[in-house]
Amino acid sequence: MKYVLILLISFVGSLNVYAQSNCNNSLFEASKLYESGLVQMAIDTLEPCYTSQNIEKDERLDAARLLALCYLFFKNSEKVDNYALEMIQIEPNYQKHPFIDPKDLTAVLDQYRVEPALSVGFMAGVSGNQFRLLKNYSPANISSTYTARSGLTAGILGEYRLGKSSAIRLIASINSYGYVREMDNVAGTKKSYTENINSIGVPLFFRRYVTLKNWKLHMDVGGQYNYVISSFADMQSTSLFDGTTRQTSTSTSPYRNRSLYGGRLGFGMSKTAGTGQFDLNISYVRFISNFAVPEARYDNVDFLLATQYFDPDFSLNSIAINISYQFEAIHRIVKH
Amino acid sequence: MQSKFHRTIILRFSLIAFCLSFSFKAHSDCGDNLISAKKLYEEGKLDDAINLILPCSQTESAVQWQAYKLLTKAYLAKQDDINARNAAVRMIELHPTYEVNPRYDSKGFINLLKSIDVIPKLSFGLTIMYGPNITLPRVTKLYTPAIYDKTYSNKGGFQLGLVAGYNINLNHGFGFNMIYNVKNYQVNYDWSGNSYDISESLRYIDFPLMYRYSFSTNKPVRFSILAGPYASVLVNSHNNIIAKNEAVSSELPHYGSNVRRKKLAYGGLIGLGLNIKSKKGHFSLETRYSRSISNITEESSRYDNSLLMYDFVYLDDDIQLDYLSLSVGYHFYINYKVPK
Repeated sequence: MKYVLILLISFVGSLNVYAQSNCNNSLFEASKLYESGLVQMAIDTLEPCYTSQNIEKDERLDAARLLALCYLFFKNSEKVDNYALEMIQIEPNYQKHPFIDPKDLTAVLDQYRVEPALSVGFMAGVSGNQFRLLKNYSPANISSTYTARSGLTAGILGEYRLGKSSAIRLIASINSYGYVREMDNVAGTKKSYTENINSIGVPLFFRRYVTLKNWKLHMDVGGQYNYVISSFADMQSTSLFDGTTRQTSTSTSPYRNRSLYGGRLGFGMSKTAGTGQFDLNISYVRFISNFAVPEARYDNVDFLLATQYFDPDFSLNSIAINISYQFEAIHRIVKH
Repeated sequence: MQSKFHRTIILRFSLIAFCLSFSFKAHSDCGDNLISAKKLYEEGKLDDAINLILPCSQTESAVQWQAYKLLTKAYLAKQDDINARNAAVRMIELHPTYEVNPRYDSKGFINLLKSIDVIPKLSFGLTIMYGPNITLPRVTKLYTPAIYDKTYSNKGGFQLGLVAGYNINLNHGFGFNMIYNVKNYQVNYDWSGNSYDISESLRYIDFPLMYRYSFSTNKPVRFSILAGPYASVLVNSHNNIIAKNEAVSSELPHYGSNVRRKKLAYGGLIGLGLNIKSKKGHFSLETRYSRSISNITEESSRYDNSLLMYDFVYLDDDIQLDYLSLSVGYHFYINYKVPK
């Protein structure tokens, strides 16, 4: 009984080895059979191995291609479609650098398009601001001029493609921006109030691509959320009588709205480069939130006494020019 | 008159349609021609194969690289090394990421491809560094409203940036960076029983343009040396000022210094780099020494800040900020070229 069992195990083992060695050569054998015109035998040799074995990527691609060619011979379009799809799944760049395929197979392959489903990347840019006065709280009727301070933005992005020419884009960026308010004569002093704000910007918007020859144009519509991390202000007070200057600085963070909301519009151009895409984008964000916290307007007592400066209700609109590079993280195959 | 106009339009459209159909036919025929050429090549009819491939190799299509691959193999079989190499170079230009496969590619073909250098033409990436970068303040002229000694010390900073690279050939290339750079330093002094501690943080965007020489061509690990000028734009700056004696301590946190600082600074840099190749780009480890030639202090407003001068007995010195950095980054290859 023991000997019978050993013999049985040896037999099953040898069968397995035989099957493996058969599959090791199956692609080579099937190629020969296909070239000799024995197409059905090529399918019978290769197909069981293709579905059962863990073969390497390039071998699997060759096997799928050969099976597609075999079924093309029998005009079995369903199988040809399946194996053509397999080819693109195995090698998404196949259509960029194809093998020498008959035009019928090329036509089947051309039905499929590989497009990025999710791209990730990074961006950087410069921004300018437009100061929007909502309500002035100066103790006297003082004329002021507001000037934007150029800012910086840098961050990471993700883009989810909804279709060939539309996408949803999410950015998380660190933004640094500010403004200068100059007051010509406040009780005999010229005052210059400079505020720098650092925030995390999270724009979420819909993007539409329009394809030109080698470029794509894009248009963006969406919203933006900004979280103010910190803000600081310097007040330069220059006496109009003797020219002496005194500077007072303060953190304005406790007196600023931490959460700011706005609408975003943008446009630009995109160019495929390498495995990714370059973007040049111009965006405009109009914040609807008041940057100042009205209830805290009179809380910064030391600064108020030193500068006689009261925060107005205000908002900032931002115009930014960004460049970004994104690369494909997940792709999908679409049939036309 | 109108019918003549219509006829001209129809004629023009017909001509365009004819040209397009001809072009389309050329593309679709190429695949079949290459199949026939491959058969001829396998039968040893090399000249016939080459004659069939040559028109295809001139036609722009996705299979153009295959035409050059087949041409390379055919010329190799004919022992026409010059034409084989030319065809192989063209093939690599069309498909620079082609990986040889010993199962299908002959030894001669593999050796020929290995002898052709492929370099990334344009690269783009992100570099980041935190911690070990050091700002080295260099005082060129000291200013004090009273008699005392100042001690300057280095402080660590932070940098984050975008990098672009362009290779001319295997050894020579250029790099352009846009780096957000936080440079910190500290100055200490004692006067009249008080101890003063003034630290400054300056946020710049640096724009270095560098020439790069790379050693160990086409190896996975490459060393390089680099040198070039840079320009810096000041984004904002501030001081943290602490004055203390045995009894009291007063602090002036985040005291803006923008008006006392020049907007632009210039200098030169030298560096050493190490690139480790990955599939679609390379990792970089780089150390740089930047030497400034610009004074950061706005001379015209040196005496304007009465608070600093009278309350803290402080005047800005003429300072140049040198900089030592170590950065890590990743560069994506955008396109490739075969250097002549």
